[in-house]
Amino acid sequence: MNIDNIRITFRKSLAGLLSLPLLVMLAGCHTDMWVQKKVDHPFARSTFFPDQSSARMPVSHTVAIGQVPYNDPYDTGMIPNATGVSVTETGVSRGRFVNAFPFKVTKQDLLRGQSQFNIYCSPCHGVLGDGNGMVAIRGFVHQKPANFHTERLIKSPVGRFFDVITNGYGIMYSYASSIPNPRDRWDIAAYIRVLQFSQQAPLSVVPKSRMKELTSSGSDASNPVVSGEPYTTSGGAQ
Amino acid sequence: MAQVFKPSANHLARLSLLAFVIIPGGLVGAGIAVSRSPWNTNVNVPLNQPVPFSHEHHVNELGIDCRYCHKTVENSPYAGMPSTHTCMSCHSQVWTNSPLLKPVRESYKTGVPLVWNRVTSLPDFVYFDHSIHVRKGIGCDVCHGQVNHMNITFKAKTFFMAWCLKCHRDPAKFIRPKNQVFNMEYRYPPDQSTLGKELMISYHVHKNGLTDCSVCHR
Repeated sequence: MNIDNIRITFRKSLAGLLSLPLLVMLAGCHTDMWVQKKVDHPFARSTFFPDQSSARMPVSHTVAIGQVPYNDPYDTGMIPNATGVSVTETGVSRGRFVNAFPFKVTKQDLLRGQSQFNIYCSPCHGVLGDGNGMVAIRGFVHQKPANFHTERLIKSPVGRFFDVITNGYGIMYSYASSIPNPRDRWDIAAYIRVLQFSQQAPLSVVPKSRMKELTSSGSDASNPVVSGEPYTTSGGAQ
Repeated sequence: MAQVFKPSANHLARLSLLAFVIIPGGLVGAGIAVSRSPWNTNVNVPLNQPVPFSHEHHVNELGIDCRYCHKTVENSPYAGMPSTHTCMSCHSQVWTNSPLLKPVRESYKTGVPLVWNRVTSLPDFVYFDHSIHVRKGIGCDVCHGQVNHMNITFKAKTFFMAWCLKCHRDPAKFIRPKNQVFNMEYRYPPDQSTLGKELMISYHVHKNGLTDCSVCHR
């Protein structure tokens, strides 16, 4: 190896050494994998579609394969092919509501119904279902949300509750997109029945162990009914 | 001519060698400080939004559950942003003439979604899944902070990988009963270390593999 080669090797390694900090800085520019050419989440903005939404709406008047068998009471709350009775006050005749749950309601269903009711219904209908939800109290000036303890709604078939959740009613919007699973809507309907029963039930059916909560008012009123969901019970006191 | 450098300059020369340590050290330290500063991480920096939505008002004052709007958080990788339909399910009745809500009404009329500015963003090579965390007892506030007290929403944590690993290496410190996941005011009990271990067993959270690369990256 002559002296020239040694010099070149030395210069090369010096250049390499000096460029090391540069490499470190380059490592900071990680745009390659950080931002990939894909729709990275369902709410990503799209430059392709005019409405800038990357998630697309289903084509109107179409039904995906396997979606909503229209005549099944489980999906509609209606008696299939029933004729005659018009039930809604919005002028839309939808058919006749079933008055039986399309499956055997278990305690699991009631608990699920309670949780779903407290999330989606209680802001307006209140945790008791009396129509005194926080949002309704604060702002519903023209029309109050339904009170489930009226005679009309106690006598109402369960299919009606399912239908109202699915399609909306009066000023209430459809909750089909919020509660996409029909089972959850049935569970809510079942829980509405629980609430109705709770307000009509005689004292004799209250278990002895819970009697104290009813008779002692005040101090322990942090409401055990929906334990574990504090801001639906405390009403969001500030 | 007098000497420019006195003998004591020898000490200074030796001391100046320290600069070789201090300057690179300082540069590295400054780099770390900058990368962890809110300037880089956006932690505690409220973002401007098309509508000045207040979680403090909706969650804390009105008591609306997280899932009323972030409805897919239990079943999907994405918590979900509310559609305009969801906003209007109350705001067709409440605050109907507010100029602040004009973009919402416009969006409902035209079908063009509101463009919210993303508060929390992960690199595209991270495959985070909300549903598994929620179902295994990791509360919203562990990662998002007390959103229920934010007027304009901001990022509460850095979302650095080291920060994720803090929990993935020792979930017992952070896991809580499932019915407390959406409780934004949850306080860990003093016996969290034992409770956490019990919950890990009953929720089938296995520490082995939680730090495997493929858990989050693929």
